[in-house]
Amino acid sequence: MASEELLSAVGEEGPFTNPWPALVTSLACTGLAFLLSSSLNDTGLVVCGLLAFVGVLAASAAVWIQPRSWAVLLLAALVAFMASMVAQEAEWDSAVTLLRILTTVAGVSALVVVLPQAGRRAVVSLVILWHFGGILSATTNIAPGPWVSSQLWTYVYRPYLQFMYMNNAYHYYSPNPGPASMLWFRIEYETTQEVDKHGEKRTFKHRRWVKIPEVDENGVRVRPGRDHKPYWPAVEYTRRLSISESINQATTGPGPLAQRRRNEYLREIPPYTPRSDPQYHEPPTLAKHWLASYVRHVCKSFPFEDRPELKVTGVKVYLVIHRILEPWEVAGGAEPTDLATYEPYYMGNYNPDGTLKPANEGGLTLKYDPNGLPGTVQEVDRDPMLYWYIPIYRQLNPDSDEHNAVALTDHNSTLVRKYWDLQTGDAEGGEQP
Amino acid sequence: MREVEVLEEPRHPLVRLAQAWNAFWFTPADPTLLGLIRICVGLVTLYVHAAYTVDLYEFFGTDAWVDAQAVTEFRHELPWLKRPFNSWDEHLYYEQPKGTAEQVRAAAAYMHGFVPPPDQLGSHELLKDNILYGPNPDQVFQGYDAWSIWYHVTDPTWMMAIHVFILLIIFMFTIGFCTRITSVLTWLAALSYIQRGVVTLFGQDTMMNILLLYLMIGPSGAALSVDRLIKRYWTAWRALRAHRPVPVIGRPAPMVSANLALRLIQVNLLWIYFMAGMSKLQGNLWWMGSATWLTWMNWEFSPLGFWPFRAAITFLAQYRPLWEAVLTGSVVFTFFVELGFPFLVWWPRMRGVMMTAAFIMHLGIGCSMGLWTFSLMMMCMVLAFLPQETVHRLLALLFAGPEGLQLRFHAKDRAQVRWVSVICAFDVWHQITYHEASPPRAPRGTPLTAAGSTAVQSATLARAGRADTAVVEHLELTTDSGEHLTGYPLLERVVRSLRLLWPLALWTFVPGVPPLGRVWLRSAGAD
Repeated sequence: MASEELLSAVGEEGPFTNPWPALVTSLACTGLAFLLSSSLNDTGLVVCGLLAFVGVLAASAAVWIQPRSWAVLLLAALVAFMASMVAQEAEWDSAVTLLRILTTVAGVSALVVVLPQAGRRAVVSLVILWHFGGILSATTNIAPGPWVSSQLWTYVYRPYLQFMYMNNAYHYYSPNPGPASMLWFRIEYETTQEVDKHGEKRTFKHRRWVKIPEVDENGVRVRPGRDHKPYWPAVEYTRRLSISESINQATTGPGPLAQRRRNEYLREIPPYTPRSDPQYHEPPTLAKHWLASYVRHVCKSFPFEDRPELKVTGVKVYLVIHRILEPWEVAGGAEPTDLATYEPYYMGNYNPDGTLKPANEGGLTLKYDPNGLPGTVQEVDRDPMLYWYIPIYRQLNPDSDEHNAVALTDHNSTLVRKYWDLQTGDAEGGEQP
Repeated sequence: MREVEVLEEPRHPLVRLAQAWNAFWFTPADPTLLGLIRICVGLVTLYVHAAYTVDLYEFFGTDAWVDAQAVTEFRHELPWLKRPFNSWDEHLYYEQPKGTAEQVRAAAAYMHGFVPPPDQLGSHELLKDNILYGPNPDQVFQGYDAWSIWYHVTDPTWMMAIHVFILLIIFMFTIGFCTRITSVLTWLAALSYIQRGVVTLFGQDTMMNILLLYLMIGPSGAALSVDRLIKRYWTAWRALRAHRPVPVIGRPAPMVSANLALRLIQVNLLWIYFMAGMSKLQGNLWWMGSATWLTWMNWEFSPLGFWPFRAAITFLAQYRPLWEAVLTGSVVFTFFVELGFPFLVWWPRMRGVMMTAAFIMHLGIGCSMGLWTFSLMMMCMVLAFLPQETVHRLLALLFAGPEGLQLRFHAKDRAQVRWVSVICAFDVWHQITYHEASPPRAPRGTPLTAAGSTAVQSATLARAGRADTAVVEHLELTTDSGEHLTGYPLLERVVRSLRLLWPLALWTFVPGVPPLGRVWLRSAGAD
């Protein structure tokens, strides 16, 4: 049976056996695009781009028909190279990179196919070793990782792994699974002078909260907006979780400057003493880069719902870690949506263009007294709560400054959110999170 | 036989190693399993990309979450620090020269929260430079190379047009049409979304990328594909046009590249499991046996809003011994799969157990954390360990219909030849026996198996109770109950009998379709 099947398969042929019509078409299309591309305007370049794309498709069809012909592969490499020149003319740099890589692959393949079988297998073996060597370096280049891996990743594999998106370390839920993080944006719009229902002219402040991602009290995952439409398809919700997770990156603790800022604001917002951790979360540089972009996106995508013409004047951003309930809390009837389980860290007050507002821009204005005591470096113009935790907790006596760890299940406790309201500005009234 | 093998076995371990390597990577394999994986991966990929339609501009447009400005800066200017190659000093990456090495180190320590004595820090300006000027250009790579169509196309209309085109490509890849081309395009398209939507990615994208890459390398369209059907049609048509008997087309030929792709998937999967398991060994909660609680109780991931799940969790929390047993059991099971799979799956007796365990684990991840696309992709990877015979048994179970149908046709009638070729292409499990009413003379000399590279169907010349030489004006199907069908009833019976055509068979039950079918067949000259 097996030999019969083998025989039956050997002589099977597809409808196409001649690669040359496809190859000639591809050379004609790409060649024309290549010749015209340097002398055309933007619309012409689009046409050239489409021609080049058709050319590359036709070349790949030729390779598909006859993959073991060195001549076909070599001409396909030429087509890819000409297409890369068209892409260069259009300033599509990533397409240039891709097409140059295709040129190289086709060119090298043209050499490999003329090798005897042992030679071809040796080349393929080397490629396999290279590929899995790269994956090995990517998976072990995470602290604590060996020096060799970091060197291999840095100096050998980085371009390959980044281009192929093969740089995942596969360290899923390690060392421990963590809580989810969210981004809460408090968008402030320009104030307006309006006549209220009593006929008096008053100044109105307009603001809106946007939360990414958001799950309502019934566990339904909803999009931001008044109608709170559920996410569909579900995978789009998971992508929002990734967006907020991009800011929730490990950082070092507060430096002396941040600590000093915080100390000067203890009277207004005291730290939550039952927590022994630094209560500070400064994102790394890349996360700040993303944050600036998120702010720009939010400002453009979320107008004030009643008055879409109002301009955005600023955005306060909070990274919110949603603490996971312990089993005894669940047994005691605690709710996972209790506001005290949300731990907000203030990420700053931003302009619509994604820059921190001047009050928060202290990075460049250091005051340093070389003759002073160690630690006398000062900074000015920084928001005292920048990157610090804003306490929301439960307390038996909400007016006491003495914090006691109170279980969420204690029904006599009261939610203390006055510091949150003070810091966000919601104490002035308006919509609440 | 055994004696010969012993004598031929090379003694040098390096030669044995080379032979084992060669056998592992380069033994031809049936591409059917790869075809099955292609369909599964294609469906999930299609869903994932179709889902982007809702958020196309929000993820990839000019003003996306990561907007054009941010992504351009990211890929062109992002500094990737070089760890010094031959130095113990890890802080060399601050711009030089800015004071003494001691002052640079002091500034770095300062940035990490320490407060060195002022005489080490140097002047204010120096400190500022060392803190704020960032990395020394000699010590960084700037940006990285990546491909994405969405870096360049930002016009909403063009974006949607290209997106729809990409969905079409992925669909073609899924059904296996022009697979050698559409597999490459699908991978490049997926990479486009991945590289542009850099902050929206999760495990699913990693697995999808890996699978698409390997399916592109292997002949994933050689089986269970439209390409394969076209090839079957073409083979049958050529044989009939050359007045040879209808060929019996078997399984696709084993191919080295099919084995290579399957091995790549297998090895990559093993490494994923192994690293996932090893990295968990660093976590105290995994050692305590309670880590999975954090995934089940995660409001943003788990289905806590679904009351049966919530009730089960609450019930569990009320009985500590039960809670500990279930949680520890789930952790042990996770380690059993992630650390056991890479080793035990090679043992034939354990393969089924490990694959089942892996499926259960991924079902669990899907149910408890909502990461269904990730879980499905992982299951697709696990499929690479499915024995080929099991695949064929499974496919036969699903698609092999009843046998005993006999089709009579006239080989000189072009229309009939076309129809027979089409039916033959879909008759993968040889349910129909084909009879030529006026059998042609066999080609002289070479046997058909070699000449046409097709096996002769021994029963081809059997008769259906008619004379051999009778001229058949229409195709005629004889059922096992002796019923003779032509025209539309024939077509209806064929599409209902060949399970690959069942999607079409559904239409035959729709009122109004049979008369239309008759009209169409008449106009096509086939009735």
